Amino acid sequence: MILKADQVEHELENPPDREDPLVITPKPKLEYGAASIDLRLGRWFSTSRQSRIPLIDVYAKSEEKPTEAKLSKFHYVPFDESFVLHPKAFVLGVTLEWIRLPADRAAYVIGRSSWGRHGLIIATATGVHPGFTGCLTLELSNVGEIPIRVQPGLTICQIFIHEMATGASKDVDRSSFIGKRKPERGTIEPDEIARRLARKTEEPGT
Amino acid sequence: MRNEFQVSRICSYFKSWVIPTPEPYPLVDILNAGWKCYQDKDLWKDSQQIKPESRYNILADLVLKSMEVSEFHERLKNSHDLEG
Repeated sequence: MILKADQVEHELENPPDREDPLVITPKPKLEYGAASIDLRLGRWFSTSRQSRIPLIDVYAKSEEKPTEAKLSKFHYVPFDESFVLHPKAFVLGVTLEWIRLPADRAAYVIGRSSWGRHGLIIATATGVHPGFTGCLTLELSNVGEIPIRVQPGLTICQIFIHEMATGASKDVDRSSFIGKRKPERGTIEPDEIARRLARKTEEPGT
Repeated sequence: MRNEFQVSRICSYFKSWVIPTPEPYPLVDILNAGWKCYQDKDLWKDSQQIKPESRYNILADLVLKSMEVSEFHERLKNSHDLEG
């Protein structure tokens, strides 16, 4: 069940479980009756250091994989300055809001259609697991033909908060993105099945 | 001047819920709360989510984000004062 903005506001003001509250800070502007809550663009951006990386190889050994610092360049943008997203640019941004979900809430984040119609899209719908705490990383891409100027504080995406049907989850989010205020790429590791499928088949008779 | 009551309150946001301050606080209190939590050997000791090696990075992020929340409110207040 999706929580209405009114319910979210009620929960932010009077958490049903004070030990495990829903928190969104700074508090967003809520539109009564709406199914989602608008989130704002934060002050950190991350771009790829293309010249340093020949390719992203998820099958490379951990020690051979580029570090976050080698892969990304961070840009701090104060509230009164802007960041230009050029056509075809892919940039990581972050929400201004720090979000904490209790064990019985999950959420997903999508772009706003008004931005999408100008070419700015949030590349993936980010799922947020119960127990998450931190700012959300946003994959921003300008698929249009005209550069777009963005500035921290703009409403950039929307979050839909869901109530878990089976109540509180014991398996809270333990991802490495917990407690972060800057966008992060993280690492991708192929799981055991993907690794087994990728193994070279031996030629018959060898 | 440092306000002990506010410092304790900020510490409880950091320790209990791993969140920055929801309301604006003076920088001096945020900074003092950060150091107080830094000196707490048992900070997030029982948390399954927070690995010991990332503890201080998370704490630094909470301190800096709390300052950002204060700046956010300060800027809104100032712009309101200018308009009003």
